[in-house]
Formats: sequence, structure tokens, C-alpha cells
Amino acid sequence: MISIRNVTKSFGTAKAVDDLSLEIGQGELCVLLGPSGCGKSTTLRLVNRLLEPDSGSVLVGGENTSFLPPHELRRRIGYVIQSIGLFPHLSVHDNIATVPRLLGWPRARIGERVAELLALVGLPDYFAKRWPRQLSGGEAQRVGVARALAADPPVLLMDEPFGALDPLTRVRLQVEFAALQKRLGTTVLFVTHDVGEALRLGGTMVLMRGGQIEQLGRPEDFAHQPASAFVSEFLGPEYGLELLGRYPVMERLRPLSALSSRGAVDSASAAQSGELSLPRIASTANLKEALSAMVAGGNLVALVCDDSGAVLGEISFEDAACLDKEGEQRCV
Amino acid sequence: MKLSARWQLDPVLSTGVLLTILAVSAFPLLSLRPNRMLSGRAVYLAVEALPWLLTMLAIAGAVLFLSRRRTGSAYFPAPVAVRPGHAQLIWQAGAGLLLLYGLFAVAGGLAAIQVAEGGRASLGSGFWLALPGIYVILHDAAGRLGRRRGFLVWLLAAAGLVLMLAGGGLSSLSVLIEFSNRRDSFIASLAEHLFLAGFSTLLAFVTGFVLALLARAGTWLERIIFAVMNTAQTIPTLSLLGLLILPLSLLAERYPALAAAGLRGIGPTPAIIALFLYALLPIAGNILAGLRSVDASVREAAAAMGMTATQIFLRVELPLALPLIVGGVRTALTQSIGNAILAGLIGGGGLGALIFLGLAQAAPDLVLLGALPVAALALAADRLLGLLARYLGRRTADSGVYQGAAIA
Repeated sequence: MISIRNVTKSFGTAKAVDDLSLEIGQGELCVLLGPSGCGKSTTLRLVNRLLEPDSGSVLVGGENTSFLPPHELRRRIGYVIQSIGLFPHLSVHDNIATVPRLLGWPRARIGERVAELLALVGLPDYFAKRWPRQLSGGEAQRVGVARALAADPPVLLMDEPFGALDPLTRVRLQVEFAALQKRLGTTVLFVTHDVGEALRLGGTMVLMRGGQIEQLGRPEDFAHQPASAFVSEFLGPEYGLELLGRYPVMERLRPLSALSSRGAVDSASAAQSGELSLPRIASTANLKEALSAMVAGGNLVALVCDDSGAVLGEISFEDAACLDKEGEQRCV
Repeated sequence: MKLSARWQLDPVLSTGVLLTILAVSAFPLLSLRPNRMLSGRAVYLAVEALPWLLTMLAIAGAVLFLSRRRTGSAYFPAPVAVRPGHAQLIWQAGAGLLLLYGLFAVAGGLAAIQVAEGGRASLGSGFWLALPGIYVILHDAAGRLGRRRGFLVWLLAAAGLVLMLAGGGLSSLSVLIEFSNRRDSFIASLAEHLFLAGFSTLLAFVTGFVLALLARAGTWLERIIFAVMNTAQTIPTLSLLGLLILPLSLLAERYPALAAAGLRGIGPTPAIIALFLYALLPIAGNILAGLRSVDASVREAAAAMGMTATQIFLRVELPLALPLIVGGVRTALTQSIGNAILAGLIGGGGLGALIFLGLAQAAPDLVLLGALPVAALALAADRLLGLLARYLGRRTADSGVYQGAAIA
């Protein structure tokens, strides 16, 4: 869907992007990751021609972008930035309606589309009448995403869109957005410097350094075969644990064993009888959280419970510490 | 346990009331003169219209009584003064309006009696001192009553005065005699004045817009443009008018076509040029500041949505800059209305001509006839454009009342 071919872009003498090539398939979510100044934002801006490459070419949907007038190209590409950039003098409705209006949609269709988008990003429909200054950061960025998706663009560019939000809101929006992207099948190029964010979004990770691609692949590949010392250093010593956060415990659930059913009494009666109590985790938890619960509870087995507190099964330390199918074999 | 109420007076309001009381009782309301230039005899309310004085004093006293604040007892003092009740404020506004109407009515009535005996009745120091006192009373009530009811208070005040004027109740006052003596030339001067101020501001707006766009294009252009405008702004108004006389006369002499088009060293043209130069800086400066105030991320978002440069300017930058642009016009127009008085000095006409004529003839009421409308015009322009700027900026201004804070 997006082809970046041998693109170079310099600012003065500094090469921000250096002979970079990248293919992003239809419906793929590609995360450009890297430290400040690695050229990830520049790469993003080359796609919708907010910047022009010095050499090389960028294709979107098979078309060479340099042959299209920039404003026409951009109406087909959604764009979300950290500072959001909502138009403060326009209502939420009018902000979202920006691109459809530029495309000359009829009024009724725009109204329907705005209602649809508000529901899509999880905002009640009365928000259409609000003004940007009445929104919290998280609400504003939801509107920003809705605005970018308004004309149903095949491609979405996002430059650290959740960077300015508080940690709780950030994680919630990341998870919601990842689900939304899967549902819509939009091709997304996402820029971030936050490894955790890249992992929560899933998709292909592209780690950049000095305007070039250092490593590209699935998040697991980065753990198993880091391309360089820089990769390991950037991902950090806890990357393995972070990676576990991508996997839900329900995938590793085992039926309750005889041994642990002794510990499946609730902690109050366990405390009374002096019996052992196993740590409990929710069925929505991930492997990282399961490990954390085991560490905190001082046991190598944790019980997985549903919302009502009923025990569904157990998960062992060995199960929880495995990355994927290959990894599973490796750790047995 | 006996609770004793204390009196605690609002310092501003009580100053207004005391000023009113002092003004009407101890200062002459009118000054009566055999003719309009000789100085005359003072007319005191206490001497000529004692019942009126007592009524006004009673009303002023009532305002003071109404404004007392019950702040708790000697044993349990309330930390914050109890806010005045709604009814209390309506009474206060009503009392203020009565005082205002009363002041004008008694001045007009006494003037009519005096003028019937021959001579001129000018407004005296008592009148001019009572006016700000009553203003404070009304302002206090209107301010606390909220925007809508407050506006109604001022509307009633203005309507009452207009009715009195129209009904002829004030026509014996010397200012109005001056007015009726020269009704036609007053209306012409007023029109000239409005034209001088309005046209120069309009010219400055058009030019300022172009200059601001040029200044935005390049920093060196900006530096040159603003250096020139700053210089013009720094030259004192009268000096600028003087400085313009010689080059403009020379131009007119050299090119008769220009002279035929109205360009001369004196008259309205140099006045308009000077006013235009003064208006340029606030207008161009505010347009530039307005356009610059648009957040870079908003501009980037607009471009990334696929707006063309023209669309970005018309749909995003201009609407966002509008409150500041209107603010610039407000400054420029208010200033031009005041400065246009000086056009009277170089034969440019306007209300300044009346003022300078009055000064030359030592006729204070003629000066007033010119000065009062200028002050009223300047205040009106300032208020109206200020309201417009606030209305335009209501969605984006930082000082908004409502700031939603729901959690995402």
C-alpha cells in the first residue's frame, strides 16, 4: 500500500533519511520506532508530502505521490499528530467533517458519517456539538482520530498520537486503536519512541537509527535475533518481559491440577487454616501480569479467574514465561 | 444571646453616594451668566430648589442604607461579606436611575427658569461632580446584576436622557442652545468627524492587511515595515500634521491634477493621511499577531487534511485571527476618533472645529458641544468593537467560563 523506495532527505548537511526503502502491505500496521532524530517522523512526513524527498520515490496505492497535487494526495491519507491540531474555532462535528467537506460530500452524508465516527472512536453523539477547548486530552485525540478517518482513507499516518496523554488514557487508547485498526483494515504507519506502545499496537516493528532501518520484523524477532547491540540497548533489558505483555493468559490456560486445587480456597479461609493460597489473576490479564502476580504472591502457579471470581484454570511459571509456539518448545 | 448587626459599607459604592450627596448639596448645579462669554453667578440647589435637593439626598441615603452588609455578629463574625440580594440590587439600580433623571431634570428645569429671565445657564461643578457619583451607583448595580440586566440598566439610563432631550426638557441649557443655534453646522461637523475617523481607519485596514501579509512573508520585510510604522506612531500628532503641510502643498503645486483631486497642505486630506498613518500600526500589528497566534499544529493539521494554501488562510488562519484583528481596528478607530479633533486645526473640519472655535471665543459650552460627542463616539466605538472581539473569540479565548473536564 505504501512503498518507500530509496528515499533520501537532508536538512542542510544532516541526512534525516538515508536511502531508506520500506514496503507496507495493505491493512498492515507498521510501527516506526527509534530514538529522537532517527528520521522516523521525517519518513512519515515524506509519505503525505509535508516534506519532499531529495531523491527516491514514494508510492501510495501504487501511485507515485510526486505526480499528484499534494492537497489531493493528503485528502486520501489520514494524519494524526501528538498535538492533535483540532481547529479551535470549529465544533467537534465540523472538525470531523473537514475532509468530507473538502471532498464536497452532501450535507446529509457528512452528518451520518460524523455520527458513525463518533461511535467508532467511543464518544457519545452529543459530543458533536462540543468545542475543542471543552475536551480532555483523551477526548480530543479521539476526535483527532475520527477526523483523520472521516473520508475512510486507505492509509493513516500517526506521529506519536498518544504521546501527550496521561499513562492510563494512553494505554486505553492504544489498545482501542489496535482493535479499531484490525476491524477497519486501514493501512497504518505509526511513529513512536515508546517500545511499550509499539508492542501494545502489535504489527510490524521498524527500528530506525540515523535515517536508516536498523531492524525490521515481528516484535519477537527483535528479542530472539537482535540485529545489533544498538537494538538490544534501545529495547532495554526488560524487553523480554515487555514482550510477554502481548499475550493473553487465556491462551496458556490449563485445567486446575490436583496440587493447585488445594490452594484454590479463598485467601480469607486460607489465612485462617494456615493453608497455602495461590495468587489470582483476571482472565483478561496478559502473561507479564501473570508473572508479576506470581512474583508478588510468591508462587510458581497462579489461578485464572473470571469476572465473578470463579476459578477457570491455572497457569504455571513455565507457561507464562514462554514467548510463542517456537518459544514454548524451547522452554519445555 | 444578643446578636448585634454591624454595618459594613462597600467602599466604592459609598464613595459614589457620598460624592453625589456632596456634589448636589455643596456645589453649584448651574452657573448663570448674562451672556455666553461673561462669567456668571452660581446656582445652588439648596437655594433655588430645596425640595429637589432633599428628595435627592433621601434617595442617595436610601442607597447607602440598602448597601449595608450584614456580616455576622460581634460573637460570630462572618469571614466574607454576605453578597447583596437580587432585590437589593434592583432597588439600587432604580435609585441610581432616579438620581440620574432627577439631576438632569432639575438642571434643565432651573436652566429654563433662569433663561426666561435672560442670560445663559451652563452646567456647574455640582452637576459634573454628581455625574460620576451616580455613575458609580449605577455601575455597581449593573455590574452585580449580570450582563443582561446590567445592559438593561444602561439602556434605561440612556433612554431616559434621550427622552428628556427629545422632549425639550434640557433645551434651555447653554450647550443645547449652542446646538440649536448651529444645528446644521453641528451635524455637518459630526458627519465630517465620522468620515475622517472612519475613512482613515478603513484605508489603514486595507493597507495594513497587505502590509501584514508582506511582513509575514519575510523577516526583513517585517523589520522595515514595522520600523516605518513605529516611527509614524512616535511622531506627535500635531507635529505630523505640521510636517505634512509643506510636502503636500509642494506636491499640489507641482501637479495640479493632485490638487484638483483634493490634495492640499491643509484641509481634510492631510488629516486623513495623518490619521491613516497612526491607525496603521495597531491594525497591521494586530493582523500579523493574529495570524501568528494560530498554532503551528493547527496549521499543519489543516495542510495534512488536504487544504490548499488559500483554504488554510480563509478557513483556518483568518477566522482564528479575527478576534485580534477586530481588537486592532478597535484601538485604531478609538484613537482616530480622538485624534480627528486635531483636523479642526488645519481646516479639516470635524467636531474639533467646534472645539477650537469655542476655545477661540472663550465659549465653554461650544467646547462642550464638540467635546461631548467625541467622547461618546470614542466610548461607543471602543465598547462595541470590544464586544464584537469578545464574541468572535468566545470559542477560543483562554478565559472562557466553561472548560469541560470529562475523562476520556
